[in-house]
This record gives sequence, C-alpha cells and structure tokens, in this order.
Amino acid sequence: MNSFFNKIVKEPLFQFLTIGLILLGGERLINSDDYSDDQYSILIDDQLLAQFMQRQAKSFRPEDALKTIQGLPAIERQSLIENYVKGEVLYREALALNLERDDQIIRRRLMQKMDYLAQGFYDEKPPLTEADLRAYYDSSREDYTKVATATFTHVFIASGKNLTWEQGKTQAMRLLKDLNAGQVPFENSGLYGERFLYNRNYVNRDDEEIGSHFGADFQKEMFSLDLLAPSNAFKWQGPLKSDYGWHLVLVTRRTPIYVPDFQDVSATVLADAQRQQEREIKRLAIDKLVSKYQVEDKAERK
Amino acid sequence: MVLSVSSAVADETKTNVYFGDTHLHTAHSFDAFLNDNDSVFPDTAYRWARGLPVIHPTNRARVQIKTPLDFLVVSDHAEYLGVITELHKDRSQLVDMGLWGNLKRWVQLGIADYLIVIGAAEQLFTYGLPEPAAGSGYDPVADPNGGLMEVAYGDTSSIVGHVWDDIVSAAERHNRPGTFTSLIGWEWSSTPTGANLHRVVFTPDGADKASQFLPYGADISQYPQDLWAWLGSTSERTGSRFVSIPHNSNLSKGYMFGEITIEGNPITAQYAKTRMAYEPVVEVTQIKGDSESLPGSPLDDFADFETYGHYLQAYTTDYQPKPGDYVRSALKTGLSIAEKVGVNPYKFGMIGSTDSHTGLSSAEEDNFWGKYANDSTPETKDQSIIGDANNNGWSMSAAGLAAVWAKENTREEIYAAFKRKEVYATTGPRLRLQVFAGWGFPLGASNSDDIAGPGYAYGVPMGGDLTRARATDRPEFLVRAVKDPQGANLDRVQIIKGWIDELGEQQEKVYDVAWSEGRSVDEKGKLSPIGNTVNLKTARHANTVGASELSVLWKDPLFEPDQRAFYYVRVLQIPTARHSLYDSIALQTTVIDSGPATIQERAYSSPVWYTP
Repeated sequence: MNSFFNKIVKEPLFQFLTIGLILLGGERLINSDDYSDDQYSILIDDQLLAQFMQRQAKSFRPEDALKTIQGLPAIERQSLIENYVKGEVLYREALALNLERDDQIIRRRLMQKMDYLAQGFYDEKPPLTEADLRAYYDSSREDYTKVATATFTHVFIASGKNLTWEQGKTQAMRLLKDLNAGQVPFENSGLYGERFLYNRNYVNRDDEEIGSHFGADFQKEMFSLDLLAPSNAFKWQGPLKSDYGWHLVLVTRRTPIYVPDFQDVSATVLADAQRQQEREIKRLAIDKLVSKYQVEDKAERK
Repeated sequence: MVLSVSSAVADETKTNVYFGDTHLHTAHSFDAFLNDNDSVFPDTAYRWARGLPVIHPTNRARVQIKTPLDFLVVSDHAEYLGVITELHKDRSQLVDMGLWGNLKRWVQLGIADYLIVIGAAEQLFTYGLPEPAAGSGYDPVADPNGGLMEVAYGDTSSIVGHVWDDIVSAAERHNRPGTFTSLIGWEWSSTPTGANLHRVVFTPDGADKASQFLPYGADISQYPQDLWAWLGSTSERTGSRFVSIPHNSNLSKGYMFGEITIEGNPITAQYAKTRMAYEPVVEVTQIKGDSESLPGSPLDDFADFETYGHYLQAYTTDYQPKPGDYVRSALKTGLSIAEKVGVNPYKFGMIGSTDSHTGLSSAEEDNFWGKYANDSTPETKDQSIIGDANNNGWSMSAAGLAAVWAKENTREEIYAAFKRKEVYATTGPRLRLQVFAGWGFPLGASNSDDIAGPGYAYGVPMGGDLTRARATDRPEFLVRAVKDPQGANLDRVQIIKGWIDELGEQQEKVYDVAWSEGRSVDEKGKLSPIGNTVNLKTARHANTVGASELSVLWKDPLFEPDQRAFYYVRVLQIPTARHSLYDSIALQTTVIDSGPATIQERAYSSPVWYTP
C-alpha cells in the first residue's frame, strides 16, 4: 500500500493535479469577492441552445436551429444543456483563475477580433478618384513592371578545363562562321558543341534565371546584344562568356523591362488601390487606439 | 541541314539516372518523435539509404532497403527542430523564463513526458495540429485559426544549433562523390488552418556554408514569400544555393498553386520570377498521396490514384479537392498567368519522395515501413493518426522516388539537374524514363540503342523549352520507358498535353502513345486495359502481360503554333500488390477497407513547354 502511494506521488499527473489544486485554492483565498452568487448561476434559453448546437455541428442550417430546439424531447434538451454547462463552467472557472492572462493564443485571438472590428470602417471609405489611382500607380510601379526576358538557343564550348579560355574562344569563333554560313536554325543547335550544365533552349526566360544559369556577365551581355529584325533571325552571335565556357547564341526574341501605361492596367490598379485603402483605414483605426496609451520604457541601460 | 563542320565538338558524356529521396524525417522532427521514432537519427537514415541493415525504431527488428538509394536529403521539420526530443532527455539547456514562465514550462514538459512514457505521445501531436478556418477572409495565415500553437519553452536556439550540427555533420560524413550523395536540408512546415504549404529546402553546399545559418521555419513566418526572401538574403550573406520543393499540394485547400497569392493579391511578374528562382521542381507523389491530377477527372481513366483526402488538422472536415491542389491543373494555370503577366509562376519539374518519419526511406510495397514508426507494422496500421479519425496506415501509399538525369552522382550535378528540371517522379519502382522533344528526330531514332544520342542532338530533354520552329509543323516526342529491373512490366506510355486554346480557355488531353503487344483500340480510340496477374492469396504478380520496354516517337496531332502548351509523360506499370494486400495476407484477414488490393505504379516526367 505504501509503495503504491509512493508511486502515485511520483506520478507527474498527480503532481500537476496537486499543484493545480493549490493554485486554485490560493486564488480563491485572495480574490474571494469575485465569487458571488452570480458567478454560480447559469441562465439557459432557446436562443442560446440553438447557437450552441449550431457551433457544434457546423452544417446545421441557422433558420432551422431554433425550431429544432423548441421541438426537442426533454431528455435530449437535458443532455444538450449538460454539454453546454460543462463548457460554460470550465470557461468561467478558467476566467476566475485568470488563466487567460499571458496566454499567447487567447491574446492573438482577441487581437484578431479587434482587427475584424476595424474592418467595419470600410463601409465609410470615400470613393477613389482617378487622381488617387494615378498616385497609387506611380508609387507602386514595381508591381506592374514587366520583367526582361529573352528567347535564345546556344552552342556551348566548355573552357577552362580541357581547353584553355583562349583555345575555347578560337574554336568558338571558327564555329560561329560555320553556323552562320550554314544558316543553322534554332532547332538544330543541339547538333553542335557540347551539352551545357543547364538548358539548351531558353524561351521567354527572365533575366535573373538566365543569370543564375550562366553568370552575371553573360546576363548583362545577353541583354545588350543587338536585337535583330525577324528576317535576320538566323544570325548567330558571340561568343559570350559564362562561368563555364563560351557560348554562341541565336536570339530570336527579347523583351525589355518596362512599366505598362496607366490605361493598360487601370482595372488592376483599381483593385489594388482599394485593398491598399482598406489597409490604410485599418492602420489609422489602430493608430488611434494606440495614441490613447502612454508607453514607458524602463530599460536599464549601462 | 547537317553540315560537315570540322570545328563542331561531339559530346560523348552520357547521362545516368540516379534515384533518391529528398524528403525524409528522423527523430529530430517533433512529430516523428511523438509518433514513436526515438532512435533513428540522420546517421541511421543515411546508413539505411546506402543499403546497410539498421534497427527499426519501434519493433527493433533488423531492416534493410532492397535497392540502395543514390542520394538522400534528411529534411527534418525546422520548427522546434530537435527540441521536443532533446528536452525529453535533458533539460540543462533551458533558459530562465521567470518564476511563472518556468512553472508553466515545467507543467507543459511534465505533461509531455507523461504522455511519452505511457505511450500516448501522438495525442500531443494531434493537439498541436491546426484547426480549420474560422474567418471568412482568403488569407489562411490571417484567419483567427491561422496562428501556430505556442510552445512556451523560451529561447531554444542552442538546442536547435547543436541538432542542426548533427544533421550537417551526418550529411558530410556520408557524402561519397560518385557513389552516394547526401544533401543538407530541412522542411519549412507552414500549415495555416490546415492548408498545407510545406516546402523541403536543400542546398548543394557543404558544412562550411550550412553552419552559417539555422534552418528557417514556419514559426518565423508562414508566408512562402518570406521564406524566399530569407533564402535570397542568406544566399547573399553566405554564398549558399537553395532549391525549395513544394509538396502535398493535394492537402493545400487550393493555396499551393492558386490563381492569386496566399494573401489574396494578384500574381505579378516579379512574384512569378521570385518563385521560379527558388522552386524549379515540385514533389508530386509521396506517402500522403498523389497530387498529379484532380480525382474524378472525366478526361482521364487513370486519375484518382492514391488520393489522400485527409487534411493536416485537429479534426475531420470533408476533403474538397481544388485545381490549386493538383499539379496538372497548376501547370495549366501557369500558362494562363504567363499569358497575362509574361512569366509563368508554375513552370516546374516533378519528382516523388517519401516524407517518411521513420528515418527509413521506404517506397517499396513489399518492404514498406510506414509513414510514422507507430503505423509501420501490419498490426498497428489501423491506428487513427494525424488528427483525422478516418485515416490510418492503409490510407497511405508506399510511394515516392526522385529520379535525376545527371552526368555523375555528385551534389553539383544533382543540383544542376534540379535547376534544369531534368528530373522525374516515380511512385516507388525504379522505372527508367527518357523524354526528348524536338522538331525532326532522325528516322528510327526510337529504335536506336541509346536514344539519348539523337535525343540531345535533335531535341531538348524533359524540363526543356520549345519555341516556334522554322521548317517543321508539329513537335515530336521521343520517349523510352524501361521497367524496374527487379519489378513489374509496363502497361502503357501516355503523353499528357495541356494548352490554352484560341478562346483563352485551359484544355487538357491524355494520349496513349505506346503499349504492350496484343491489345486492341476500340472505335472511340480507347485502349483495352492490361490484365491483372496478381494472385490475391500470395500477392505475387507475373510478368506474363505487359512489356519490359516501350519506345516511341510521337507527333502531336492537334498542334497549334500560336497556342501555349506543355507536355509530360506518364508511364503505367501492370497491376501489382499494394502494401495493404501484403498486410492482409500476413494478418490472415480478408478485408482491409482502405485502398485497393492492387495498383498500377507509375512515373511522371517533368514537362516540356512550348511557347509561341
């Protein structure tokens, strides 16, 4: 018997329950005024039970809930009440113990509820004028920017290992002449040179992806090559130097980085500006609340 | 058109296929530990992957993979990395949190210890899962239930630091350039309101760089954009390179590949560019289900394969698959967005991986060691796990391999293959799959000894780009699929095409392009199904049907040069036994109601894109 008792005392669960009881008792002694009769009465009505039932079964149709409650057999109503009461009692007791204090989940939940309250102000927002939209467009051009892209294929001569950079370049220059003399088309580039670490064809790829495959110098050079008219599309150019060797390139398309005119994106701007306006209204509402408070920083500086 | 160009250089280097797993958890992951894996750490995980016998974390049996892997990423959850496991053994590294904080922590840890000791630790795990959305907003992170469970342990970075050291040094120790590649990585596990946004991140770089950062977890931010920003700034600071791999899009509630961002903003060119800089490849199949195509697609007889409809959340809600959850619809969405903003945010290749939490990367149906240690044996698979009461070990699939075409088995070459998307997925078998796309392969290319020769010379491999050609009319696809040397024959090869039609609508079509001999195609063009040779009493199949190899040169019959399109290959095996059938025979029960008795394992190639 004694060893059983010892075992129980050593059980972590037992220890927590004990600590819980001590904490609870202590709290009651200190804050005994809060435990008036009101604290211990729970008022039930149909409306409340209907809400409770709906929360439990989310699929329940709200308009039917009240009717169902009123037509519920007494025994089922009783069991519903018991379930409700259990939750309510635990909730009240927890509040009485101040268990909500310093609880990050509850804190964040309440913060979010305030956040939703702030959204109520949206209804009163003034309509956006064209001037507003243009100002928004000017300040957020980056969102509307079309990125620079290139479409090209390449013939690769690895250098710096078996061939020196010089030898590689000489070979590339010779090959360049042949490629242009033979009018070698885009789709036949694989017949020449070596297989490159990354891709053979680059279609509509953005500048940074090209840079991440070939290196920054290649990226720069690719976007400063002469753009050729479509009739000259078979002009092979280069060699361009990458981190891995020399490349002869056939560029068929390149789009510059540019910002479309306001007119061309006005619908998107309107939607974005409205979202921005809502965020701003919310921010102001929160700032207003914050301004009611004085913040004191008791930092102990050395 | 071929010239006698004296200065042309022939490229004789062959590419080889390497099989690996980029998604594996060990006892350092809190959920692996809480589900009974307390002994398989990265070192054992690498030993298993390299083919050595190891001790199973719960049943203590000696277990061994049948065919070793060529590469492995140990990708433990970055959130509380190793903290729960370490604190169960040793509390000396805890920092002071004040009287009340220390007391609360002591109670939390005590409850955890208690549950672990009585063998009910999975309750803690379920308790920590998110609840479904309660608000009406789009952004799941901003939802009242979008927050993470708070764990009040104080600053645990010193624990995380030494656990990260263990992961990094195990990878360094087991890396054998040319023979076996170990890659350093982790998982960022953002699951706001049960919408799975998880990514595995790996780096091809070594300890010198990886020791300069701690892995970035969803406890820092649950937005993928913040993860990418951190990858960018960490790259700049340390010189590290990263690949981020989204997975379990099937459980993302439409958020993984949405038409708008998680926050509900439109997808801009800049967003697409950033996403593509870090996420060239997606994990499309794994133990928690297959994410290739929307279940119940009327256009695809082989959709609804290993559908896993159980969200990662504290209680069950109905599974509602959305286009943003599945890869094929995402590839189509990507074409539409590219048409609008100029850059395709969903131009990704495909791999499979296991996501096993036992530390044992097992994707073999007859040698499958489960998702968690506690569902890894026949007698424990019917436990309800991961929150959802309708879900158990048989709802899951022994699945997921990443196949990589590379010149050699090294960190650099595997990284480069991911960047150029010359990778593919299999659901477990070591199917060998080559795909090349071009405009005029030489006659007889599909019969040549090595199709890679004409493939690379006249086309681009899987993951590549095509654009308008000068002379020819329709794109051609050169495909060769070879069965797993130790596995089942092949049923058929299919090409799946997605495109944007002249009205701007998204379209898809599945073509049967090669199949085993002696089968008929009916008047509607439908190929007769392959026979099922599995003996339900022994789980054995016979390779008396199907083909050991299928090669084909296929030309798109409905090509429109002005329309954006993608093409990828799906290869189906003949039916073989699912792990649940092996279990039911072992248990001598006739019925296991989760999943079919036999399945057609498969491979998915990365797509080739055509852009006008």
